Amino acid sequence: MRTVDEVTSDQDVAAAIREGSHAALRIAFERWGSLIYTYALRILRDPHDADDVTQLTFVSAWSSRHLLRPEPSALPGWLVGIAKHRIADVQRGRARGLRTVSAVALEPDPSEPSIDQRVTERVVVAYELDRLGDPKATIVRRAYVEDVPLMTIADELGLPLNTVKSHARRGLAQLRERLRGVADHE
Amino acid sequence: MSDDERYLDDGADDRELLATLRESAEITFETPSPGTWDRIAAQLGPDATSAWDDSGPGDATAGLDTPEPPAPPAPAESAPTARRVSRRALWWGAAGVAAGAALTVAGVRLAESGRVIAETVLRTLDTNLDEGRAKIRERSGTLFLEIDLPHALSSSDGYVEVWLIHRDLKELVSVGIYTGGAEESFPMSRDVLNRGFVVVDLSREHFDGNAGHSGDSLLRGQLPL
Repeated sequence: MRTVDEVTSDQDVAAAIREGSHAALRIAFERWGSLIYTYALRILRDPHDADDVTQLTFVSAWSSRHLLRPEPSALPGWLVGIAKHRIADVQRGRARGLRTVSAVALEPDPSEPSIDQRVTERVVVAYELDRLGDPKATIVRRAYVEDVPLMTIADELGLPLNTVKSHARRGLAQLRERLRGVADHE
Repeated sequence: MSDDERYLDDGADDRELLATLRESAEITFETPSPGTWDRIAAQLGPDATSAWDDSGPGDATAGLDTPEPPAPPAPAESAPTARRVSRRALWWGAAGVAAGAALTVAGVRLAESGRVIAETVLRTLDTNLDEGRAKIRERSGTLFLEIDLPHALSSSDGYVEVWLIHRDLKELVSVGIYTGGAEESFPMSRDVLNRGFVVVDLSREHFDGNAGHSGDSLLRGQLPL
């Protein structure tokens, strides 16, 4: 049997965080901690830095929770947006460290570290695809990543074609919504 | 296969989404090191919603090593909860007075149809589409939870169950089985609402002998109570 934590919608979690609930932030950490960590790790390539970014992201999220919009897909996009700033902080810190060590004093300040939006989107989509759960995730993966016809997927999974179509449609809509959430927090 | 069948919008948006999907196939996820949540929790300010969590913020940090026990059957008896309930009790009292006043004006017809004392939009969780309404209707002193869905829901390989989830999101009660009508009504306990079970949820359930929520929520909306 599932716990209510698991059936709680992302929107409900967002609303409860706004209200100031530690337990809701904890649920958010369980849902997206791994997304934030992996995102930071892929850019910074250092597990220790990725841990720091994860920690700072959720602490910053808590202290700015009044800015969180109570919309269905707002929470992951918002967390990723905060993580992006924390990652940039680490990159700036590294650049400064480098400059001190090699004394490249004549060079202008390194420009604002930029994080490729494509990397952000890829990580978010991969994560949200996993979160769709099966059979929806498998259907979306087979149909749109591997280009398998929906009819074939229906045969493979032993599901009615209409069920497969509906999963495909809803799954894609969910991913679209998630990406929009990330773009909104640019 | 035509594009229609693949549910793709015409624009560049979906071409981009598909490209992103393909590129994201190689990503594997890793988890933060143990203790990360504890370090986060140590830096949080006070918990503003103690009704969530009887024993205070400490409880939220305990879960990493010790699995959380199942949600207690009743909401906290802590002071904030008591305050909330009494505020709501006042509100209910006012609603009762208003209902009585309306009755004397509108007469019998109103007494039959009752009076809606709270209403919310029911939306799909994934796409946020407005699919109908949930209402609390008072009729001759009895409350009903009414589910109005212009497009009836069906579940080919199971059934649709109606739930009320507590506003603290930790507990839920089953209301009954939705049978596919445009307007279905369930007798409702005033006490359940007063205790904060105000989030209406419709889920797809299977005949699997599991009385709990499947986790597959179709529609949801929070009553403004």
